[in-house]
Amino acid sequence: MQLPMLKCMDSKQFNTQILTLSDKLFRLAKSMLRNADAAQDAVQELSMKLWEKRNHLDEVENVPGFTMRAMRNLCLDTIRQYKDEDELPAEFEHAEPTPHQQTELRDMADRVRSMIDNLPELQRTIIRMRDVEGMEIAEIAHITLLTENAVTVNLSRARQKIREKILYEQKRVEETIWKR
Amino acid sequence: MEKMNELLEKYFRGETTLDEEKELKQYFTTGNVASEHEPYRAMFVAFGQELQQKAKSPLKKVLPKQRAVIRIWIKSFAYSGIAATILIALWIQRPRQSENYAIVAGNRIEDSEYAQKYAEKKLNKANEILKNSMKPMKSVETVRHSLQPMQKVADTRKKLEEIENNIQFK
Repeated sequence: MQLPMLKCMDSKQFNTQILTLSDKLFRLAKSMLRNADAAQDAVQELSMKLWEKRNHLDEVENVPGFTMRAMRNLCLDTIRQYKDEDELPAEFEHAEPTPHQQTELRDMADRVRSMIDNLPELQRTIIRMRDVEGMEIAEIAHITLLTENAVTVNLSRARQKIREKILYEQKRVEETIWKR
Repeated sequence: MEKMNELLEKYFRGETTLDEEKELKQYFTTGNVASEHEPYRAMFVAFGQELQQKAKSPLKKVLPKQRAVIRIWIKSFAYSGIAATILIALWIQRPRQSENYAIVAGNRIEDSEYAQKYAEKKLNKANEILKNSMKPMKSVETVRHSLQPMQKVADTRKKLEEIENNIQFK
């Protein structure tokens, strides 16, 4: 039998297992909450919770998956709270730029990011897990508690929507250029 | 070109593998992009940019440092507490000697029934002895009773003497 003292996860193990995930956790939280400060808070909160429960983390088979899932649940709670308070995170930008603004203000990559932010939570989470983090469909399914098929469907929808928006904006830009 | 067209369509259907997606990323960020694919370049650039986002403050600063000494103290406190609890529990639960006992001829007797019978026997004996010793007292009483008339004689004599004295004075 193992002594309880030896079983306890020490700070070194915790650092290697959890803290290395912090950037990934931050990106997930930021994607879900659409607010960098709120995301940072969420990461801190989760880390504290995991630190308190570090003795049980040994029993978890897939620590990164478990941690990402915990992060998602925490963010879902936060989103629900925001909804209760009828309040959106401050950073949320959802104004559709006029072609005029677009040409002078933003580069297209920024536009794409804001388009992703405007997708429903599940779709933006999944597209980022796949296209930004490069995660396997099975991994995403584990974190989101969906079937792999449902993940693929949501991923495809998210990509299609971004494609449509890009083509739509492209068309508007071309139209304004023609009008000039 | 053809291949990239196919790959892109597959990508939007959500059917590409991670390797194929890597190939697409490379095409859009490093190679010459065909003009018809140009609108999608921003997508792959955005993904690459997002991956550069980092958590602002390293978590290590906020996380409490594991203080080994304090933890050992806390543990020793906890363990000694548990040990004390066990000792107290054992003390409370210890097998107790019966509080009902009698000493008979220097021997300790804990069988209460036996002790009671023994005591009753002794008491009866004592009672009998008392009864027997009261018998002479009874005869004394009868003697005193029968002597009562004698007392009256004595009283009469006293009275007579008093009368006699009175008469002598006159």
